Amino acid sequence: MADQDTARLCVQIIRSHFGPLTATVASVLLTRGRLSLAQVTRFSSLKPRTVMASILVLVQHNLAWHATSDEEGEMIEFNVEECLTRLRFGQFVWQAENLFGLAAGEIVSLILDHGQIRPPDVIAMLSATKSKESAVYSQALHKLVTSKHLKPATELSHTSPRDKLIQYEADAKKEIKNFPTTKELRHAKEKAEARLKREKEEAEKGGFVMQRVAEQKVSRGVKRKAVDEEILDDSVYFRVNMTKFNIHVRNKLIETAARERFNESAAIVMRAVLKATEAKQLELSEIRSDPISLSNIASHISDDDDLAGGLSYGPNKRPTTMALIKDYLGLLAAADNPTPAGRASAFLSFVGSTSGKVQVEFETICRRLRRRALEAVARERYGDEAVRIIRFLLDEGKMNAENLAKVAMMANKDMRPLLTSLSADSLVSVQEVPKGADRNPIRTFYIWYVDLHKAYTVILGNLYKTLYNIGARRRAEEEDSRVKPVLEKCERSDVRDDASLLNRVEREVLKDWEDRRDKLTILEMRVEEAVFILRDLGVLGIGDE
Amino acid sequence: MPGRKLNALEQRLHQTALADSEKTLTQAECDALIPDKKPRVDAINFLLGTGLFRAARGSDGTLSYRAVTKNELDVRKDLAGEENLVLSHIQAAGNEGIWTKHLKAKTELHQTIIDRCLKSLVQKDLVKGITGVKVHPTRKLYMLAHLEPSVDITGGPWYTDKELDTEFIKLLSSACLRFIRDKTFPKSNTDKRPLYSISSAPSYTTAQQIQAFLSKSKITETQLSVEHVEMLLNVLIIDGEIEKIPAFGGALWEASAAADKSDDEEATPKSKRSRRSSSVHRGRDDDEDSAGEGSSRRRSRKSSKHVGSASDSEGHGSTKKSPQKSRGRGDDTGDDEPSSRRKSRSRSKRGRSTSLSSSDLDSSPIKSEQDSPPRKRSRKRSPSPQQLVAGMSIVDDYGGAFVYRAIRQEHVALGWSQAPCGRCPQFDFCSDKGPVNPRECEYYGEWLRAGAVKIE
Repeated sequence: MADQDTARLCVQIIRSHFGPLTATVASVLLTRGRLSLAQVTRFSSLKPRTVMASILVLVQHNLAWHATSDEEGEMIEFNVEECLTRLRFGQFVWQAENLFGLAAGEIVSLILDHGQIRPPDVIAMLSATKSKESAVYSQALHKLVTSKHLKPATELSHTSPRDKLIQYEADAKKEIKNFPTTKELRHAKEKAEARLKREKEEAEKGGFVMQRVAEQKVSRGVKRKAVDEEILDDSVYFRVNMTKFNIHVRNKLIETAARERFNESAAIVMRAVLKATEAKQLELSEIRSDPISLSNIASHISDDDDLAGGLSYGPNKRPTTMALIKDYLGLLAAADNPTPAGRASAFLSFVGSTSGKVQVEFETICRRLRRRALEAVARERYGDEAVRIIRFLLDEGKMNAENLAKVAMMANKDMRPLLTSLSADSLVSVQEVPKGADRNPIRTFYIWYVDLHKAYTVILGNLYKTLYNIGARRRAEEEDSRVKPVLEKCERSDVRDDASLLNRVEREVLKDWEDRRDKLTILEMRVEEAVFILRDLGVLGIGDE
Repeated sequence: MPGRKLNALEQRLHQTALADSEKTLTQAECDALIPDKKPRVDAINFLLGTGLFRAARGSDGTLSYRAVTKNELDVRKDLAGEENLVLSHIQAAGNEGIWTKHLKAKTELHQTIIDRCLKSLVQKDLVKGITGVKVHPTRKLYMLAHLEPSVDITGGPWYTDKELDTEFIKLLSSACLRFIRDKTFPKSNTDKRPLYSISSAPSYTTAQQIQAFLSKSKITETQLSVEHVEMLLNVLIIDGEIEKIPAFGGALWEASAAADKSDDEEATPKSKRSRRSSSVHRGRDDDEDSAGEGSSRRRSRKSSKHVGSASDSEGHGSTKKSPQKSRGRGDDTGDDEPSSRRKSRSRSKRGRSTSLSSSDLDSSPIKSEQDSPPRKRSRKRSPSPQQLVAGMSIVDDYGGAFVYRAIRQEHVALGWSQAPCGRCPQFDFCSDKGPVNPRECEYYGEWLRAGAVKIE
């Protein structure tokens, strides 16, 4: 179950992607939690047939989980995260096009449209409309699968992971003989999580590339790769591996951060480092990348990139490219600042001092990016002083208002209202420590601190609400009494073929509407990026903050 | 009071006491000054009788005498007993001042009497009333008229007219920032925003230099101490404008660069040697850190010849060497532990030797494998006490020098702030079916129109 804002946003997404009937079903599932088919039918007051079709669509797109339990029978649950990721679909297609060419983009787009799909169907559908380019498409498809941008859909991805987790945890707890200690309980939980993860990996690996099938197919001449005889299993349904695409989004963000922190050339080096390790980055939750050598990084930097311009040496010193890269790596790793603060501001770290290898510190960077997002919200609403307060509180822990005013060099009278309004937005929290048993507010210490988890959750909720507002506004614009008839006219087949059938006013209205739509969509994308930073980068170390 | 003048002995006692910084003489000092007992006792008694000396008992029970100047005596002659009492308490408070409530508690006089006394004392220009800013801004304090209120009460240079002068602070910190930026970023007229590489970095500014700059630059008449400058700099650090780095940071990087070169030449023989020696020392390292440290220091002296850098070679030699040591050990125990290697650049030697002996050698390979991710993380964020201690000792070696460097802030482009919702005053009130709703939102209408103007 999701909170109100998230639920509204999900329903809106479902409505725009699948239409009003499916949205009704989704709304029921979102507001009432997990339900059986009969209950969904009753609450949605739709025909059972319609409900079943809607659920089928949701399942096909991994938006609904099954959960079969002994006492309840089969239940259906809504997958909120998957639904919110749908806002990123456009970006995924764009990325696929950039990385693997136009054909790959079309494949990704097709798979996203259909949820999950088998390789022959992809080829058939794409080459039916276009000219006979099935070889190009199958090559692109193979590339996407080997680079793990597509993954096989497994049975596991349709069952609710939470149920499994609870079940596995119960299994693990059964093994504990005596009264369980907290340590044992925690251990049981970890064990259950590990088991679930292992199972998932196992399942996705299994359907990936079928060696056995490959040998059969060789005779029919559909072999794609002669060397290891790997071929896509035609019976496996593939779906888009969102994690892999999310990794690209993250890497782009890291590169931008490096550009802002240092300069363009440093960003080029940062991009090279990320590119060189990209193939092995599979999860957003990786703490750091694999170590990578200097020469490997250098091979990802083209000669056209201007590295020398970003560093200032003496007038007659002309360093080699390798020396330049090494210097940039030193900067990015904050090698001259061995304090904890320096390490927290680093992008990379060196693996030993002699090997010369570096690795990307994803956890450090992501943590920092999230903090920056929080600070940006504070700056936006309350100005630089609020950012100062939040940073002090994050660095020093808890503090009372007087001390805070002293170190932040602000007047007490400015500090107090600021703290109050920050706490109203949950950006900072207050801890009350009464001096006596009577809990008199006069005799109470008020200690301020930043509850990061709370702050992030509140901001995320606000972002979801904003996304909903943007979507609602877009729909309102679309249904405007001036725009609607024009749009309906555009849908007519004769008008679609010949745009000159629209008169001047209609064309103006259409153009105006398109402008507004583009603007709102771009805004939506940017807000979505903030959501990405706060939610998806938050998989690292939420618990310990 | 006896009418005669002071004799030579009494004069001497009084002068010596006045010359003392506390204006007091202990009994022992008196004994040393006038060895004969009889004239000494007579002189002290006379001084006590005239009021030029006042007897006091210290906390440890020893007797001491406080000298009173003649002027003070003259002033006091005209005062009534109560006024005298009040004045003496005010005097005792020094430049800290004393609050009227405390005065009342100490003198045990009635409020009206105290008020009367204070009024007459203020009229005679003996005391003055002040209000503090820092600790208790509402309290009325009294102190002797000729004293300057202490910094604790006035709040130092940041307060003008008992208000925190934020404009002044802003002015100064922007001046500091400009100064540091000038020193940090190379001058260039391209838009490439070049930086100094670590090896060719200029010497960054210290707090002392900034203080000198501020006092020279005539921005303010107020004299600022280094502590005041550091307060300003701390705020700048928190604002994310500058960072504080140890002065030897650049040297660390150069040392590692040099180490790379020398390693290319003779990597194999050296690592062999280190492996052998570490295996010799290993048994002892477990329970005795000093042995490990000693060995690393011995070896570092050897390696410093290869590096050939000047004064700071010992520190770098050891940092550069010890990863090999750790690798050698890792091989010996069959425990592949990358985490201990990867921090090696910044780790100081003592931190390393403890972390190695505690983690790598004690634990079985499987256990350390499981434990390693959280341990790595925790180490990354907060160094162990040993590391901190070791770090401080390094700092002390370098004269406790930290330098300041300007940084460019990394901002997250928050799309939210571009949306009208980001700063919407009605955001919490906004709902689908309410009077404020996104479909008819005026802010969005404005936003859409404003954008259109921009594009044209």
